[in-house]
Amino acid sequence: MPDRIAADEDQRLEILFRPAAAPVVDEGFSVAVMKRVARHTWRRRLVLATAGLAGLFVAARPAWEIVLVLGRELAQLGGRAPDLALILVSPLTILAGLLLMTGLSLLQWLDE
Amino acid sequence: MHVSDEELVARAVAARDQAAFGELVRRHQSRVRSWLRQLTRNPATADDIAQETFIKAWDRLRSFSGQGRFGAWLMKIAYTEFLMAHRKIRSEQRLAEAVEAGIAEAPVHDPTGEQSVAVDLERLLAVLTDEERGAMLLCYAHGMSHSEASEVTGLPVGTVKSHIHRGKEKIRQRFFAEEVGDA
Repeated sequence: MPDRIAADEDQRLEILFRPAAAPVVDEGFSVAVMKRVARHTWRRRLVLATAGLAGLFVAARPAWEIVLVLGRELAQLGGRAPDLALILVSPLTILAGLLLMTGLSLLQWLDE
Repeated sequence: MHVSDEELVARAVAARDQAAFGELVRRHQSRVRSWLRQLTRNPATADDIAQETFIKAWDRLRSFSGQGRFGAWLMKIAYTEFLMAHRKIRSEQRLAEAVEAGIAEAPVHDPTGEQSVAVDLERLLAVLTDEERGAMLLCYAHGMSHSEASEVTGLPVGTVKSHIHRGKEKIRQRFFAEEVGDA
């Protein structure tokens, strides 16, 4: 008997809650969402591109210095290792490296 | 030819196919919006949250493993968005809830005996907490099982059952009191 009462009650609740599941007419909702998705995607690409360019700009100078020194060192094959070490451990290079790593992590995070 | 949700998700993920995702939005907007409308009891707020839900779904589409239904996965995002938005608008809603609670206090007069039809859904929902409302709507309005409701809300099955039990108890006391007494 209690089971029957519980089943009756559940049935009544389903009837009472039924209007809550009534279909909602789209009325342009899907179109509005897709416009936002398109804008959102475009904005994200812009942020990615800007972040990439900014990272490149910051890292360009120290990276170029490293390339120059490496080139010289490779050409002379020794004798000037201390100069290279000085460039590699300079604060600007470390900062550029950190920024580059942060930038890459940010790009990956944004992409996900 | 009917294309399944899973196929559409695969297309949307592989080629960032917005048309495929658009079809998913069209298929699921009604259910998501109707649930959010009942949760928030404000169509405009519900639609804002629904839009955010679909944007988040687009961003996280890769994380949909394909296990379980896409609809349930979407409802889970919607519920999280609702909880986040709800914190922001809580102060506004407190006032509305106080007014609605006043309405809900009024006893239901049912001379025709058609009580189950006469009880207004709004009044019914007004006596429930957010958690009870969410769980009861999923199970009684959207026909989900307790475990599906648990998946959507992120709550243990036992907790979902408790919310439903408490919700039923409140409804029984407020609206079915006379009939229960008779039984």
